[in-house]
Amino acid sequence: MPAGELLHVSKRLGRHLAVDDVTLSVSHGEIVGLVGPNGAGKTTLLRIFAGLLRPSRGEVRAVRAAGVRYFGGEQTLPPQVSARRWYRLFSREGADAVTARPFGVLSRGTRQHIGIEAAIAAPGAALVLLDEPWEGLDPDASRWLSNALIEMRAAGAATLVSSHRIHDLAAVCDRCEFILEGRVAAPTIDCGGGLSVEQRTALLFQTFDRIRGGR
Amino acid sequence: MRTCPLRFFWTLMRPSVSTSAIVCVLLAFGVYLEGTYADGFDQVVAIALFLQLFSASTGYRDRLRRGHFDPILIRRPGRWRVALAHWTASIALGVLVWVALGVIDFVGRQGHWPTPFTAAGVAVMLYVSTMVWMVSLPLTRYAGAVLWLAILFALASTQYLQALRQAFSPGADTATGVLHSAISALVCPIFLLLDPPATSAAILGVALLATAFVWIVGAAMIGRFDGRLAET
Repeated sequence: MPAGELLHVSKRLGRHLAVDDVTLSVSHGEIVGLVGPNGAGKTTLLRIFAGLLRPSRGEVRAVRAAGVRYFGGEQTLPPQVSARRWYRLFSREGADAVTARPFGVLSRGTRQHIGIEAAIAAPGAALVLLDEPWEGLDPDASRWLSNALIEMRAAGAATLVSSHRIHDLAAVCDRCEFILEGRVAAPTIDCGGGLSVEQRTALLFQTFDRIRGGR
Repeated sequence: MRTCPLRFFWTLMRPSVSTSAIVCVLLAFGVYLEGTYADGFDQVVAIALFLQLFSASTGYRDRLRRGHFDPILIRRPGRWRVALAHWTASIALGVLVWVALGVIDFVGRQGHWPTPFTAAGVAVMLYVSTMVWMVSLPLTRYAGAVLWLAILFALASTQYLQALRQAFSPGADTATGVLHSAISALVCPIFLLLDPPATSAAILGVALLATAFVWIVGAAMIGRFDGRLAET
């Protein structure tokens, strides 16, 4: 049974149809990647899944809100708030190791790292929604994130992650969905099936190029 | 770990160092006046009310669209609960200062009931805080304070403020008198502090009803705001 499901969901933002009749699901113990160019509607889809946006049409089915973990990117962190105080809102464990300085004075990568760590810190994650999580992370932090996603998958969490970092997606995802102009633009790409990470990466790039018309 | 909305909003809105310094100076000024010229203590109360205009104008939609409230909103607490928590966190500092000033005045002047603790004092603090909170919700921080002050300056420059002052009678007992006084007080709430003990229950009732109405409008706004992110 899926942990989260969108059924024929559309979302109009002003006059722009940001999501157009999308049906998508993510099951427990699965990592699904969302791939698409900027402005394709990936963030809107994730925010609909998270319950932060109401769809204009269609249905959203998701696990209990207490099991949802969402991170929308370092730009959504309040700059004046101390990183440690922010972390404590989600988990007491590990908070003392986090810098007490406000987010506004930290580097982009540090904000991103702390933001993701805080978002997924509390136990009991059932549906994890991450928007461009590798953005700004250094290689160590990228590896930490990929391992964290794999661990959460092993614990049964359903994860939906959007990214432009095709190689990172290929390394952790079970399947990828391509989004273009608010629609699912290509058949699901299965990232399992015994392919190496390089082969999966090549497959994802090929599909990306195809939906973009070879640009 | 479940974070309650009030704790979340308080973490986001806790006073900065400069705000805390202003509060300390104000309280110190209150203590000083209490010791040297206790009859002038209500000046500090008026300054506290003026500062609350800005302190409670926290804004909502602007920060909502920057994604600052995402972690609490994904837990899908009722929108009324979110509104109550946001309102409480927004007005908390001003209310604490108000109470502290009341305590200073109570301790300093035996046999005098402090203005912040009078019914009129409570009504004016709640009304002012709630009004600027609500006006700021769809706008930016401080918008409620700036707009209200702009209106008062406009009224003062066209003599309408003076007319409102003349229409305000704290002890009004006729329906027309109460209505005129209440309208005057809702536009310029400081009138309620001119003679707090003498302010009629009817005028205070209208002020409190207006406060409740404004709060409900604010809460309804929060329920309708869309969590669409602003373009960055």
